Amino acid sequence: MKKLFGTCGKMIIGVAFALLLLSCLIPFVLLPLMGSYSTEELMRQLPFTFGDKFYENTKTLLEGNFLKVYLNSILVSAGSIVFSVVISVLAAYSVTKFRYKGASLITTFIIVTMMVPGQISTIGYIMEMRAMHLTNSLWPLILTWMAHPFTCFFMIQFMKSSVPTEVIESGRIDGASEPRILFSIVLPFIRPGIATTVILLFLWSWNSYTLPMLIINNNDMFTIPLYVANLISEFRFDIGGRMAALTWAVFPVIILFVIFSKSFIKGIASGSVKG
Amino acid sequence: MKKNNAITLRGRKMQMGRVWPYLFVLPYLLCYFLFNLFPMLYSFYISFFDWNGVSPKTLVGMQNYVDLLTKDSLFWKSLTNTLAMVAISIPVQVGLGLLAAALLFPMKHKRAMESIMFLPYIIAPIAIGAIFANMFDWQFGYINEVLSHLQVISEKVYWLQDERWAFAIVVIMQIWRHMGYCMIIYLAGMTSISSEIYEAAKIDGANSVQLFWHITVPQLRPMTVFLVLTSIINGLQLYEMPAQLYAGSSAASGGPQFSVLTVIWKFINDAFGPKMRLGYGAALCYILFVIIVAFSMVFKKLTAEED
Repeated sequence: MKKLFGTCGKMIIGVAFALLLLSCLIPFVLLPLMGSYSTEELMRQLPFTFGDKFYENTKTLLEGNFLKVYLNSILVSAGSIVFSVVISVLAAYSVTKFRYKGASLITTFIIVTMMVPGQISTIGYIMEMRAMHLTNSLWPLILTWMAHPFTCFFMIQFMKSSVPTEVIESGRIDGASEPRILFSIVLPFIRPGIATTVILLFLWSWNSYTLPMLIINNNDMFTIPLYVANLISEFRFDIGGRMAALTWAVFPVIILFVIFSKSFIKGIASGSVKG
Repeated sequence: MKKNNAITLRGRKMQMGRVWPYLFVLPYLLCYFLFNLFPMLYSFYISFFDWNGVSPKTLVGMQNYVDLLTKDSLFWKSLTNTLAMVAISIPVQVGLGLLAAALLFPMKHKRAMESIMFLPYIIAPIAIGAIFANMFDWQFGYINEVLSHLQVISEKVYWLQDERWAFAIVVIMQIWRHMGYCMIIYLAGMTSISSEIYEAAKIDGANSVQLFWHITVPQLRPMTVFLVLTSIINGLQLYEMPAQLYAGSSAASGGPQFSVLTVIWKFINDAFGPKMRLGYGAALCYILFVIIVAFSMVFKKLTAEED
């Protein structure tokens, strides 16, 4: 009897968990599913199987400036990743592998500033970008990631735990210059850490919406989230087109996630557990 | 002469050696000052002015702060909304994450399930908002469609137009987005618990529920502390998902009767709405900042005392 109760309980838990898993998948089926119908069809009858209008919906998007928007998003993410990673690696190398007066102070500063919510700088940042005449470019969306405390903190952690100080010392004894030590000795050690920060920065910059919405008002400088949000307010009832656009917005994230899911998950877990 | 040269060369090299660390850290500090710290201080400065970004600034002193805290009932509404959302969603998302992790941990082929649970976390909040807006649309939404098919409801429900339902949907979105993240953190924590503790307890005759409550949960305490604290900080900044639920219908800003208006949503409306009250918005952000710092400090203190 007790055993029967146990198996029943297990089954209930199993079913509940399966439902939870399913709930995580539904939206990702829903996007391409609804994106493959015209809005008229969707209004008539909600579908449960895929339709044949996905190509058509995408074509309508491309007739607008969707391609330009997509390119903007790629540029913003690539720029943010490159600058932020390089700057963070340099700073992390400096504060972890050199002994000088300010090193620990700067480390504390980076950790403390990690807690500061971004919104308190929003208004000042927008005014600054206006004063620098950058609001008509993609720069404001890249510059905001340049000194990112979390990225830098993550690199510091990684640098501390996985780069042995001895190899750096021996490099210095051999007379290698500091940039050379960084590039040919330190870099190979921190490659997994860099991979994780690249993925995180991609995720953040690709999905970012609020700051771009407040700064960018030129259609040609829109990124994907902005474009989709505008699509919703402009053509309230083009549900099919909107879903197709969202499918394309989510697509690269899913692909990257499928390819890198291991270091993705590992990185996020280790970064936060250590913090 | 030759010797002299060598000495100065070596001296220069030594000097360069001392310069390198500063040179390496300089770009970060410079960028932080330019694109983070300066804008923050400038926002703080603006918070003492009445300014729309175009006409000249008028110094109002603490008036923005005083007005927000004493006169602006909508600010209090947004704050209580946000706090309630955080208070309800955190226990559920952390609990579900823990349960899912406990279920998955002993399984051998868990990568696929792990990844599926994590999917909602990597998707743009704006996409999640749009998906939920679509699912709960009273006219074209799947929820109404399915529920009326199953004959659970006889007529379509106005989910997003009802105060309580709207609030519940925002909480569900928040939970749904973060439970996989909580699970991943817990799974990482579980790998660091040594199996010896479990073995010892099993020999003492503990069943799996007892093992879970008396070993797993206490051992995962650091992860729980981390998750709750970061969830509070992130939850207080909730904006994109609820705002996207009502995208396109500007009249519904904040949802029905402002039932899902969050603090940041209020900030965006005040600072970048038709009136452009930049000083007022900046003050609002600083109040939120103080609340976040207070929460973190109290929380740190509470957890430190228990340890």
